[in-house]
Amino acid sequence: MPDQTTLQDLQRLLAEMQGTTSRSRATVRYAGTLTDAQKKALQTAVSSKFPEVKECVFEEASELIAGLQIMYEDYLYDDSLRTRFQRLRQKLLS
Amino acid sequence: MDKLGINPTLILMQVFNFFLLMLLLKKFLYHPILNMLDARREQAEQNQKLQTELETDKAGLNEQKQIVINEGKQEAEKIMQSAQEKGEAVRKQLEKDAQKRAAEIEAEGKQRLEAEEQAIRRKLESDVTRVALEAAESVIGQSLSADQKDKILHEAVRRFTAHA
Repeated sequence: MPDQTTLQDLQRLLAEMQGTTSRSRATVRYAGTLTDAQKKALQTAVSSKFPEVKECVFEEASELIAGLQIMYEDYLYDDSLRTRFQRLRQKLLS
Repeated sequence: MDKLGINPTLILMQVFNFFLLMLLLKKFLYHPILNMLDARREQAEQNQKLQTELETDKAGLNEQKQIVINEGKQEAEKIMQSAQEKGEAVRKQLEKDAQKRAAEIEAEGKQRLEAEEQAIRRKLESDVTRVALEAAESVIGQSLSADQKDKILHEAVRRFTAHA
């Protein structure tokens, strides 16, 4: 049975690994169909922009209507039809 | 003379007495009486003169009084006229101020109404725009075919990879 100190060390190590993992992961949300080649191209582009990114998680998001969003930490690239509508609404209503 | 009963001595005495009496009367009676009469006449003359002067003064005073009264009346009329003019000026000024204030209130009200109208119009326009955009977003979202959505997505991928 591990003693208390060892358990705490393991928990700290796990937390650090999780943090490292989240820091090395970007999320790509999209509406439509992406080919593997496009996914790879996106991952390559994200990694070239952020070298610490090792992995991209792809999620389908139909609420975007069409287009994609790329999120990494506080960075957000948004090229979705829904956001275009929002911008247009803000511009017309301001 | 004695035979006639005339006594010359007596006559002389009588004449003497007469002149003595005349002298005494003149000395002690006529002169004081004449002086007194002269004094009374002078006094009467002075009184008459004083009365004349008084009457003259009275007439002058009456004239001055009338002048003062006339001047007072004229002054009063001037004051009344001035007061009336001032009152009229104040009334006109008040009327002018009231008209100006009424015009200002009317202009303010008009301006406020126009502002409210514009605000309502803007609100209506924004509501209409919002509803129209929401409807357009919904319609476009539902009417886009899968191919069209894919095309938009692929364009987005191309743009990102080109700029990354």
